[in-house]
Amino acid sequence: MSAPLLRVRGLHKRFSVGGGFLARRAWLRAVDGVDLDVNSGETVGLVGESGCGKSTLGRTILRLIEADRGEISFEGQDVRAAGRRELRALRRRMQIVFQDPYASLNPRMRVGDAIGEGLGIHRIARGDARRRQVAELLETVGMRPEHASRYPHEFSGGQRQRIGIARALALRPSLIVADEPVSSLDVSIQAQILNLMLDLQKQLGVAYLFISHDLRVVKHMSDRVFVMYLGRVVEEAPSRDLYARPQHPYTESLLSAVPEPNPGGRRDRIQLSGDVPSPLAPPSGCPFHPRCPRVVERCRSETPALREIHPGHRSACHLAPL
Amino acid sequence: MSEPILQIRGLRVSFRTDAGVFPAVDGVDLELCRGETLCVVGESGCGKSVMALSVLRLLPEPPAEVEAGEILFQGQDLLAASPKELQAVRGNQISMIFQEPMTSLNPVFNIGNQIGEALKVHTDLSRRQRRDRVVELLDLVGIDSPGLRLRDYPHQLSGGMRQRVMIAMALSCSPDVLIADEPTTALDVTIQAQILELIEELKQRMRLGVLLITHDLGVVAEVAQRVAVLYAGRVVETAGVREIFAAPRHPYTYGLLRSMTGGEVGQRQRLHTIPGVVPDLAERRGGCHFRDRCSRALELCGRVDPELAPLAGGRLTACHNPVPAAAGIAS
Repeated sequence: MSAPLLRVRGLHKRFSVGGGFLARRAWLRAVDGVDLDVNSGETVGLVGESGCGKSTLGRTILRLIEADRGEISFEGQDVRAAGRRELRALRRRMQIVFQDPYASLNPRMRVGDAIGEGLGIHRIARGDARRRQVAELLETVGMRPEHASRYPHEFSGGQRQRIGIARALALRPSLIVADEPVSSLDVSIQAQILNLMLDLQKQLGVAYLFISHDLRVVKHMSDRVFVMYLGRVVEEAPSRDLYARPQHPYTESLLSAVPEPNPGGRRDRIQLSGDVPSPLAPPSGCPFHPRCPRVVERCRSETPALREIHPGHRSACHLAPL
Repeated sequence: MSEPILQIRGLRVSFRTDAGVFPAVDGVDLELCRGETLCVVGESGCGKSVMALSVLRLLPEPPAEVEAGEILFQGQDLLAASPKELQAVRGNQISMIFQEPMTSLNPVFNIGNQIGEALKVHTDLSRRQRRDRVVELLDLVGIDSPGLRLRDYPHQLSGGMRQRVMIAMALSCSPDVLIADEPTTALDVTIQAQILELIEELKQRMRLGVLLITHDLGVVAEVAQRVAVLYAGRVVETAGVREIFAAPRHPYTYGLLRSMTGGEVGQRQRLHTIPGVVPDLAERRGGCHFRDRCSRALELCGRVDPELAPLAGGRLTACHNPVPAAAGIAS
C-alpha cells in the first residue's frame, strides 16, 4: 500500500485543569500516545465514551488544538511544523464537520457566504464564479441554489448539517474530520445525512475520520475502527472484524451495551461496574483494569501495548487473543 | 395484564403564541398498566415530552393550554384536579425523571436533602426515619456507601450517579407510576445499560407502571412491552413491542424502523430514508400529518384524519392505507 493520507504517531495532548491561588494544578491527559492512519478515500471510525479524547484527537489533527508531542503528517507534509501559510494551504485539504449544526454556523452570515467563505480566503473564486460554485455545492448536498441567500435559522437541523458539509466540501478536501455529525439529528434525518456522506465519498473520493459515540452508526459507515478509552487507542481493526470478534474487553462490553433494535433477541450483557475513571487520575497499569471483567494481576501494574492479534487487528490487552 | 392504572383520553395540548394557537399534542389516547413498560417513541417535535409533562400538569400555563381530554389515574381525572389534589399525586403516586439529571437537581443542596424532600411533603416520618429511608433508597438504586454519599452535592457525582439519585428521589414515596422522559439520552452506552437495567428491576420489584419516552428504537426494543409511536402530536400506531418490530403497519413506523443503521441493510450501503422533515406546528393542516412524506398516501389522506383503529392482534393504527402485514422489515 502507498503512504497513508494521514499518519499520526505518538500524539499527546494534555490540558491543565484548575490551579489557582492555592490549588494545585492538575493535568488531564486527553490524548495519550495515539497512532492512527487514514488512507485515501476510506472511512476510519473513532469510537469511545464521553471524555475518551476522541474529539480532542480530531481537533489536534487539524491543529485547531496544538499537540504537545508526536507527529502528524498529511499528504506527506509535517502538519505540526507547518508555518502560517503552509497551514492555511493544508487546511484546504482537510476540513471538519461539527456535531451541532446550530452552533457551528454564524447566525448573521448568509448561507451562501458561509459556504463560499473558504473560496474567497483561498482566492479560488469570487463574484459570479463563486456564486456558481456555491450553487453547485448546495445542489451536491441536496439543497436548492436559492437557499444561498437565507440565514441559518431558517433551516432545520438536518439542512444545517447539509450546509456544514457543503462548507467543508467547498475546497475539495481529501480528508474530512466528521465530529459526531449526526448525533444531534433524528433517526430519519440521520439516515439522510449518512447517505449523503456515502454518496459524496463515492463521487469525490474524500476520506472521513468519523468520530462518534454511536457504535451502530460507526459500524455502518467505517472501513476500519479505532476504539479509544481514557486517551488511548485500545483496539483497532477492520470494521467487520471488530464487531464480529472484538479483542479487547472494553470493546466487548461496549458492544454488548448497545441496545439492539430486535426485541427478544437480547444477548448476555457484560455489565460494567462503575463509571469511567477520572482522566485526571487514570488508573495504573491498564487504564481499563478497574472495570474489566477479565482483569488479572498483571493488568494492575503493567500497561499493555497495542499489538497485532490478527493481520490488521490490534488490541492493547494482555489477554488477547480473547 | 392487569387493569390500566393510567389512562389518557383525547388529550389535546396547545401553545398560545402571537402567531396563533398550535396543538403540540393533538388528540392522544394511551393506557398504561401496572407492571408494564410502555414506550412512547417519536422524533423531536412529535409532542412526546409535552404529553408526558401534561400528565402531572408541569407545563407552564400559559403559553401551554390543555384544551381537551382526560387523564385518569385510579379513577381520578388529573386534568380536573385542584392544585392541592395534584400536589398529593405528584412525586407521591406518580413520579417523573428527566433527561438531564444535572439541571433537575438543585446544586446547592446535598442529595440526602433533596431525596428527603418528597418524604417531608408526603409522609409524616421523623427526621431520623427520613434519613434511614434515604439511605435505603440510595442503596436500592445501587449507590455504594449510601450513608456517606447522602452528604454529596450534585456536582460531585457523575452523570450516571445523578440519574440514580433522580430515580431514588422519584421512588421515595413508592409511586404506582414512573414517567421517564429520555432518562438515558445524556448518558454513555455502558451507563445507559446500567440505568435501564435498574429501572427494569425496580419496575418488577415495585410493580410500577413505567411510561418511558425515547427517540431510540434500540432502547424501545430492550425495555418495552408495548409501544406507542407518536408523529406530529398524534399516536399513529400502538402495539406490542414484538408486533411493531416484526411488522410495522403505519408507513411512518415502517420508515422509521427501516432508516435505522444496524438493521438488515449491509454495511456502507445506502439507508432507507423518509423524505422531507416533520411538519412545523404551524404547517399542520387537516388530514393525515404524515401524508406529504408518505409513499402510500391516497387522495383521502389529505381530507380525512385517519382514526386510530384496531387491526389484528390488539394493534391500533391510524392510517387509511396501512403497510401490508406481510411486508415485514427485512424486505
